[in-house]
Amino acid sequence: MAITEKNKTDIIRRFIAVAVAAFLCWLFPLFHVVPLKMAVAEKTAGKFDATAFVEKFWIEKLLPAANTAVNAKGLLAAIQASPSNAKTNYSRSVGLSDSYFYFLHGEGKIVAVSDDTVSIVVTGNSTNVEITLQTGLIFGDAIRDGTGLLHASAYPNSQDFNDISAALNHEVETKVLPKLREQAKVGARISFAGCAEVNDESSDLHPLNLIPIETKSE
Amino acid sequence: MKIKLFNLLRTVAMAMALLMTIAFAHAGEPAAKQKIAIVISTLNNPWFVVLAETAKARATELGYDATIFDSQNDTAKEASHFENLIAGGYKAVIFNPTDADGSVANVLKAKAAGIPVFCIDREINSTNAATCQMLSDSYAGCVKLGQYFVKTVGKEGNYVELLGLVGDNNTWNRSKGFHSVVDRFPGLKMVAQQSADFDRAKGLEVMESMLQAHPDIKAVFCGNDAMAMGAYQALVSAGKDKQVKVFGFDGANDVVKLISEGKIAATGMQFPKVMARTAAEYADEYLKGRRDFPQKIPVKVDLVTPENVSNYGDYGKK
Amino acid sequence: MNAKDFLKKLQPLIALVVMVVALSLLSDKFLTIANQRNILLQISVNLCLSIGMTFVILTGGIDLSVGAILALAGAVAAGLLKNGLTFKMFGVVLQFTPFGAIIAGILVGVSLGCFNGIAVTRFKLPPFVATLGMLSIARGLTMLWTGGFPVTDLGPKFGFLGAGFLLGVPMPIWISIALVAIFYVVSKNTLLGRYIYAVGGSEKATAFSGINVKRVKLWVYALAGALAAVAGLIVTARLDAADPKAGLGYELDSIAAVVIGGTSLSGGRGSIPGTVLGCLIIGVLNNGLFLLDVSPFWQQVIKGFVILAAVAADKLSAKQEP
Repeated sequence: MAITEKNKTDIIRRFIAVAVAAFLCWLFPLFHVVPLKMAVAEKTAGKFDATAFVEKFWIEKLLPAANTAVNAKGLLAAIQASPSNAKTNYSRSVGLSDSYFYFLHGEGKIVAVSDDTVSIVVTGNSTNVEITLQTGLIFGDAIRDGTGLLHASAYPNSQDFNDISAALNHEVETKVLPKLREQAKVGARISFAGCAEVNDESSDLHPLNLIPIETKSE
Repeated sequence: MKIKLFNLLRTVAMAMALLMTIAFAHAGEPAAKQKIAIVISTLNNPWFVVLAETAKARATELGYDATIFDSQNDTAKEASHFENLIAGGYKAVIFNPTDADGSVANVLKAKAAGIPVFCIDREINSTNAATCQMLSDSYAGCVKLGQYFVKTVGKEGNYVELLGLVGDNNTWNRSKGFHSVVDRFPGLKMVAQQSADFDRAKGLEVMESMLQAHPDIKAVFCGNDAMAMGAYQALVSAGKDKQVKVFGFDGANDVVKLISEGKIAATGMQFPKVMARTAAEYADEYLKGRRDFPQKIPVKVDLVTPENVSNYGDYGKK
Repeated sequence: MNAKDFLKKLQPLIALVVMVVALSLLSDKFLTIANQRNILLQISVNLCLSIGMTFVILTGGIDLSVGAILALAGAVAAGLLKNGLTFKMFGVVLQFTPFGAIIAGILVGVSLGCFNGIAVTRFKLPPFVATLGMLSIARGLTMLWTGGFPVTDLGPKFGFLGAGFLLGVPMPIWISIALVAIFYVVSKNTLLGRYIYAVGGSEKATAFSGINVKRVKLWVYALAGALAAVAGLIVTARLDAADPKAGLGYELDSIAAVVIGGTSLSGGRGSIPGTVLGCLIIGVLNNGLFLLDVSPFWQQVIKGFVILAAVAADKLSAKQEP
């Protein structure tokens, strides 16, 4: 079939159009080809890593702070005298809330051990259990919010802040509790540091229910 | 010619009538009061209506002229609201964002115009845009809810979960808080997880289908009370409301009532009224010169169960 | 054109002028430059949608899928820009440039528009049904693509499209003005424009005169899809985020603007300038209701009445014609 004049110009026109489009794409590229590994690495670089953060925080901030936490003996005496005074002098609370936290350290005698608690008497002559250390599954934000070392305002996305709480609890379960379970023998003396959350003063003060962050047998 | 004139007159009359209505609605307002805008993600859910109305009432009490803007869950509409309120001379914004990421640009616009923004209930993913953010601590609330869930449902059994809007931070804060507890018990198996968009009707629908697929479940965890109500309705009509325990979140009136009747297991009580009132008071303090606001203020969520339900009422403590 | 027709065309303009005058008397904020710019900025998205919608309605059809296409085009562009397109097989990612993302977004709009057009012409589905189906398809695809999460942080280059300024005027306004100008010329001075009016006037007569009606309709739906995509890119750039829920109900705003602008839903009658007026009326009304602190619940009621009034005026004056 002969190429007519019209067909010819048509072909030339199309050719020019494609050439122009190709030239434009060369000037303004539509996309760049990036190897998958590099792209993935770039993406994860900016993500917040709660576990890594907590491991560093634990050693650099939390353990040093435990030494300066309120002394258990003094706190228990203050609570005995007046729960509300103890609250104003020693507790922390976060945001708009009527529950509060104590961050304390001290030493005492183990009087009972169960599946998920270790009961301790701190004051020499007391017959009541004054403090229990949680040894089961750890939930809640007592460690994150109880120490005053971490603030929600520093985290643009609250999910990161929540991940910190989960990572802290995980740290307790994997690093603190196995050691504590070994040390937990009735009659042994133990030193401890930890955080307690008080939701309901009628039940949460006697005993104070602590999430331990550090324990040592003496 | 008569007809043409009539046509013209009618158009004018229509436009005038419309404007008269508007003007009438507006008449008699003294212009001297400072204006506060309340921009709310949606007024389609009673929870947010309570939030908006409480903020408005408190701002009015404090001597401001407060206006509610409804973003209808549309970040673009929200952007228009911000442009309008900046041009309209509003002095402060009480803001319930539609989207944690998408709303940041809007808040920055207001900030650039020197207007303080107080976020309530939902957060924005930025710590240098809003003046202050008052956020329901959904995660901690759902941790407590999860613990109660394990206590009442037991350590074994199948359950399902109804999620809220998948793009919403609160959906995941709640779901993650719940799962941070429940997933620790390998005997508790989540056999289905579907989104019902925080919507009662959708909750009903999704629950109906889930019951078809998984007739043997022991419990359902819902990301808000609207969905919990929908799920409960589905359970009642399937005759399974005794078998399946319902857990909600929000503290809506009807759910609190059903908890007191022992028909719903528990909910997380948020305090929309406290948040809204505090936000209005902060806006007032800001306009009077205070500047030292904390960026984020977590607001505690209470666990409401049949044991303590008598302390709680509609969206708050009695 | 006789005097009566002329007057009828003026109706939306008169309504707009009356509103502007009244609002400038009622609120001292209304006539400020910042506020006027806001109004134009806010109608720019609806204007993009409404130009396409005008053509569709002129052919006697309707397009309910524009809001959903808007969301999908925005999400695709944002996703390609932010995350690129991954080919696991070859171990590479195509990282799109802003320009490439824009082209891809528009291509998405065109292809879904063509799909609408094919459904209407080849499969003879009523436009209402075909585009209703597309609404659901495009919404679903948007959710699949994004996983329900907004795609954010798209960078200033892409953001320029929505948040940038040229000569002190925001980009969305420039874009919509350019589109209005282009498609006004298309509607008045091109064969396609004349064919569109002809198809809407009488499809049978047009077909008899040798015009390919199907092709005209295909063009029109593809165009509506493309313009919806442009609107989606503007929304996404303006918010620096592609929200999968974006554009919910926008098709109704757009239909309202077209109808208020005097375009007849039965096709054949209407114009681009009329639609511009329709958009302006809705924009001014929205803005005015806010400036006057009307409760958000009343705002919806009032807007509904305005739409009813506009269509009623159209019907009434149509009856008076001999």
